[in-house]
Amino acid sequence: MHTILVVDDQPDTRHLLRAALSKQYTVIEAEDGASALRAMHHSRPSLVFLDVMMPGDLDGLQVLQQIKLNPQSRNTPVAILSARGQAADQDEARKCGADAYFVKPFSPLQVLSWAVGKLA
Amino acid sequence: MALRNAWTRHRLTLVWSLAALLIALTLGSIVQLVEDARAREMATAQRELSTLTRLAQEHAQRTLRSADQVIRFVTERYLALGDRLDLAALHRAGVMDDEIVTQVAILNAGGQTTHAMQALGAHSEGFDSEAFKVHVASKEVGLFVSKPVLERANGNWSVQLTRRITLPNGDFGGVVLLSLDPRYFTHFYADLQLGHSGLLVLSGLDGIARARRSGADEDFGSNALGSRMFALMAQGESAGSYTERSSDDPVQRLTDFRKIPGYALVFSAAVDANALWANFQPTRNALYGQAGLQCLLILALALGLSHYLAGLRRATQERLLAQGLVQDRTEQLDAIFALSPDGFVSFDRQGRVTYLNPAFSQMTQSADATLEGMDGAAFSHWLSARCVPGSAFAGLAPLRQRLQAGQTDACERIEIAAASRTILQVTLRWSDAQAAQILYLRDVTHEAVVDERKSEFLATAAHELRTPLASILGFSELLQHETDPGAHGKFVGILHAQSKVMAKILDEMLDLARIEARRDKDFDYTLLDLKDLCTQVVQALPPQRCLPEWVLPEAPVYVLADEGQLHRALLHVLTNAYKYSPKGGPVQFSIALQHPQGRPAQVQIQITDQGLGMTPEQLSRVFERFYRGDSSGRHSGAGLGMSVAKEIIELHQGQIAIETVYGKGTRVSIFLPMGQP
Repeated sequence: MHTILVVDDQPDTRHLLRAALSKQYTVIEAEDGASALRAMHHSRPSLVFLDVMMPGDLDGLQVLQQIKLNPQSRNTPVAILSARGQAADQDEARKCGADAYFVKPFSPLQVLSWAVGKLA
Repeated sequence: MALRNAWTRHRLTLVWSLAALLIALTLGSIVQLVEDARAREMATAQRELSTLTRLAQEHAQRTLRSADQVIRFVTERYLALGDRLDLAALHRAGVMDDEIVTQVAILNAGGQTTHAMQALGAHSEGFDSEAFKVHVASKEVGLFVSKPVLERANGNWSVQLTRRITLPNGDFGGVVLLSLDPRYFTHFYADLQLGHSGLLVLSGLDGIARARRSGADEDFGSNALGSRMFALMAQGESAGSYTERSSDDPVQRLTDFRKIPGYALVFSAAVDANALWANFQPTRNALYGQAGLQCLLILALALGLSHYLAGLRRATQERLLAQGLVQDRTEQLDAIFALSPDGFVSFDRQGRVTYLNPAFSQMTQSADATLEGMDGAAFSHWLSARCVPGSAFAGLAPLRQRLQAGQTDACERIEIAAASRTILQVTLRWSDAQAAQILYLRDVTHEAVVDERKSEFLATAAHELRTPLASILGFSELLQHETDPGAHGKFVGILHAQSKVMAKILDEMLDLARIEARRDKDFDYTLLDLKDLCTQVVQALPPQRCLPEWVLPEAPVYVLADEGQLHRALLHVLTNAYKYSPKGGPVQFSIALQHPQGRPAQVQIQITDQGLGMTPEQLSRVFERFYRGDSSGRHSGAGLGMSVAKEIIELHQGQIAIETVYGKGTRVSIFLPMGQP
């Protein structure tokens, strides 16, 4: 069973993703950038959902860059979850190596089908 | 101004003085001309008169001489022929000139007429007895010319010339008498126009006129011994002229006289001086007319000049007045500019800085900069350098282009790099129709910050609503496809909870919006006991782990407040106290009365928890909307509670203050004016 890491400072969002994904995958959570990177190191998830705006020193895009720079996690698909839906934001995220971009509020079923597609 | 005025007045005086001088000179020269002309006229008249008297004198002399020759001839014939002498025959022979001689007669020593040229009438004694007697008395008389005598025979006037007949033995032998028509002396000049009052007089040295012609009238025998002529002759003058008012008539006459040598006779001619002047009148009138014209011309010139000067003076005064007005206006404008809270920079037509007001220096913090005289580009560069990068001044040139494109003013916003945030709206506009411009700077920091806050608020509000909405959408989508009935109830519970969060956020936003829009217009202030209100607030709390610890005065504490609003504010603060002390610990709720010196009494409410406390950064943002000290999501709420509480307390003329120690707890102090029951 694949492990999916959900990074978001909002417990409600984490809760929603867990509800959507937990039937098929093991879901682990992180509430900020630092704990996300720790989880990447320890748990080596197969896929990551990453919020952009988070408290702390690292925001989502910085975490994304770290993941993509690390040879161990470079190939792990990362989907960005953001309240910002502007094309410029999406472009920036893709430049940093994002594999998908979901604008909040998102459809949990779409997110699930994307994960299923990536992990098939 | 007074100096210029005096100068113009001085010039006016000068003009009129010159005019007066010119007029005086003109009149003087004209009077001189008139006088000269009159003198010339007089001299001419005098010369003419003199010529006339000379001619008359010569004529009279010749007449008398030829008469004397006749007398001498008759005397000689009488002495030779005695009684045989026939005077009538001589007359017929043409010895006597009929024109002059009216009678020639010889009177013997006894005075009887023995011979006569013309037959004597019944009255033979028509002769002047003096003309005879004078010879009886003296041998030395010579030719005697008598006074005019009216001849009874023919009623004519005559002058009788007598000469003594001296017999060969020396005895008196009678006289030869010759009568002359006196008019002959004067008739000769009948054609001469001496005027109405002109006189021609042949007088004897005895003063008696032998012949006198006055105008067209002749008269004889008048006495003029008292006249000036005789006075002059008494002084030895034999000829002369003078002007004198006559004693007979009130006529002023120019008289010329000449004694007839060898005879006791004087001839004089006189003309009416007034008549002479009358002749002179047209000349004089012409001169006076000319003088008048010249004077008028001078007056007109002076008038024109003074009018011009007065106009000039008026114009000067008006200009000075206008200058004064302009100066007043400039001073007013300067004062306005100096006092204006807005900044002004004026540029001249060459685009150089001419003026900066104090507000500009203050806004741009450039009190010591020297900007006057700087050109537009340098000024733009200077101002740009004082701005925050990214909000720098784009320069005057783009603004000028916009002005030239027809905009009445062109503006942009810049932010000055200063300790406190300063956002300026910079507007360029024409200050005249030519090319001078004014740069107008308004401090719009407050508006800009308010705008920014509104935008932030909207963005934050949208974001805050999006979060529960995302849960609601997501879980409802999952619910539709969820087959596990156990999960159904859980998801519905989440949906309900998230809907309540949304409703709460919307309620708080609406509260805040209403309070901001209406201020306290909707507030219903009543005097209420704060102790009662606080009890109600505690009762309204959701079931808590424990009730707050009360520290209350015994007596009621009154405040003038809107019960609902104050309830809301206190509830927010108390809720936060519980919310941010999740690990328990007592929450203290105290009310105290304060009587600060010099200020009205106030009520202090303190709500103290022993919870998380806040960092200084959190404390500084605690009243920001949607700010949550803990964004972990463990604590529900929209982040508007403290903002709402602050608004309400401040609308009650109160204050709210927070003391906090991170990790130890927070104390919120609320001060309200004490109400008087």
